[in-house]
Amino acid sequence: MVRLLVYDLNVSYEENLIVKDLNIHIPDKKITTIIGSNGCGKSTLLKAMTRIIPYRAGIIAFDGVRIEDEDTKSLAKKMAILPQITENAVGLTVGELVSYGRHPYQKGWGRLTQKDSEVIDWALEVTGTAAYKYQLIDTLSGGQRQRVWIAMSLAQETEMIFLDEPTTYLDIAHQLEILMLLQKLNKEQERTIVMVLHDINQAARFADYIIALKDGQVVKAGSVEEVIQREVLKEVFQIDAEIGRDIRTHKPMCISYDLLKGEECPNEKVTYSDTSVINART
Amino acid sequence: MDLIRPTRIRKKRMLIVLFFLFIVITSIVSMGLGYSSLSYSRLIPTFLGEGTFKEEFVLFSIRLPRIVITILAGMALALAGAILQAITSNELADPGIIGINSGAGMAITLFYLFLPIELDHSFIYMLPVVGFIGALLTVFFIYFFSFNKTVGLQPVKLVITGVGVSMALSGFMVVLMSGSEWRKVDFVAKWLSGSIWGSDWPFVIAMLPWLLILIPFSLFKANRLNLLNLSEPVAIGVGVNLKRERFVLLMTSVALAATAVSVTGGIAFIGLMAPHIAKVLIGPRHQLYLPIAILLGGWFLLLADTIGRNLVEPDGIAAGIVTALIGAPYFIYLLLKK
Repeated sequence: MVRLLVYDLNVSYEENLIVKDLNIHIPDKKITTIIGSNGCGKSTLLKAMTRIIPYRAGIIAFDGVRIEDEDTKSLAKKMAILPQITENAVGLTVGELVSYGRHPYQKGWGRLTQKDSEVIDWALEVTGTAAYKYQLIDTLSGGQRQRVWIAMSLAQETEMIFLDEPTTYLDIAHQLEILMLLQKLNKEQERTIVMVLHDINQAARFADYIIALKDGQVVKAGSVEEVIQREVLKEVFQIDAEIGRDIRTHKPMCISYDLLKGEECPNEKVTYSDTSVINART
Repeated sequence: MDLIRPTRIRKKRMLIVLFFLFIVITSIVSMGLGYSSLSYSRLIPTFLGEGTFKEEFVLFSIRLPRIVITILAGMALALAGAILQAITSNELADPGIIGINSGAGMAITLFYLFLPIELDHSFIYMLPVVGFIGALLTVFFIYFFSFNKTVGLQPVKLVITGVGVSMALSGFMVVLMSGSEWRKVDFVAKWLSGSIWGSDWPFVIAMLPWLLILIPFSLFKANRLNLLNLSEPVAIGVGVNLKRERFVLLMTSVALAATAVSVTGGIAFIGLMAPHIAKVLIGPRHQLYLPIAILLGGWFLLLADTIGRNLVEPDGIAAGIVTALIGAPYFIYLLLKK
């Protein structure tokens, strides 16, 4: 079943077209991961799907309704977003931040109901942050802080959760901890998770469905087996990858890789042409 | 709901009582200080209607309206600053930077210097109206340039355009004043320095409704202010209608600041300092810190005016200058801390 559908999407910053005629769907109750090199438009796609940025053309539909036509508050009861870590929560306690996730359900003065406080406590419990409820966010470590932000999106009680690089700035143990938490939420509560990840092997290990992007277009979208392949990675990342199996999880895994031989990095090409322009002028 | 530690709720109550007491004490001190002396032992009898004509006149027609107007204006400026800081996510925002002071100043300069009028009684009541309109026009002008059709109001652009327009207007005012009659220039200069010139009961009555409506309204919006202050994507994610909320809150801030400034003259830094100190004391949750910021703002301006009034005989120093003397170093301290 598909609830979120993206059809012929075009997104641009100023005049730069970042996402071009993109078609994808997000499988329901699964973990979907978006991968791609820097600047390929994966974050932009995630932001467009969650109405954080407007799009130029195409359709993004949730349950058959265009997201821009739906009331933003009622959409907030269906999808939660965890943007890349914001450092602005200085001075707030963990409980206060998590309570902001209740906003879509609040009316008037925004007093918290019994239900609200139950959900907040539950979100703190699930993410293992209940012990810090009264602590200031700025006193927590990066991993704890990220779990608090996840608790906030859980307090929103949505079926879908979008995360933009949830493991950035975390050490490998805490990265795994966050991803396992998301996996648990997906398995035990059937939440649909959509996230942008940098690490191909993490994507392979945790995703049910992978969307690989390059230059704002889909190179390949499908199951882990379909996407984590030599040819796909070659096109998406310009790498020559050796694909094997993780000996514990038996998922596909990039064991070793090299930069593609004989092809320069596109960035370097730009530099060469720039100097040639300068040389020609002088 | 035990979301916030009971100790913090108690701290909030304690701070509210504390700053309320500060206001009361400073008011009492302020009643007895000034050019015409009114001894403290005569305050209570005068309140009870047993004072001489002179004592009653000094207390009820000079000191009290000035004290009340100063407190109200300080409160309005503090709240305006707090809202502005939230919608721009910028701790250094002050109503002055979105052109409220310079807009009101410009309108009053033009009105006063170029219309053939004298400073009589009916004219004095026109000034706040003129100042208010000037402030609104300036803000709309700045708003227009920081507005983008697809994303709505752009907070960073709002601040940059605001600073630019304020400076341009200030320069223009200097040009206008340099060629005008000395006596009129003197009044405008006093206005610009924030001299609480409108110290009369009708001004109190004109200001009170704004505060009585907009203070509860801002507290009503506390949750949305929390979210706007946090981050734009987070606010959108939990379903805040960004365009609408920013517009409504910006207008609230403008109305508050313009009302205050058009009665007191150009006063800066209250809107910066009061919210900031309140946040340091109790944290950035608007439900907790807004009431404290409001009281602090009222107290600060009253204190500044009381000091300024009595520092130099007979006219004193404008309250706006006193707040600037305290506020400018504070502003620099905040900048350095960043």
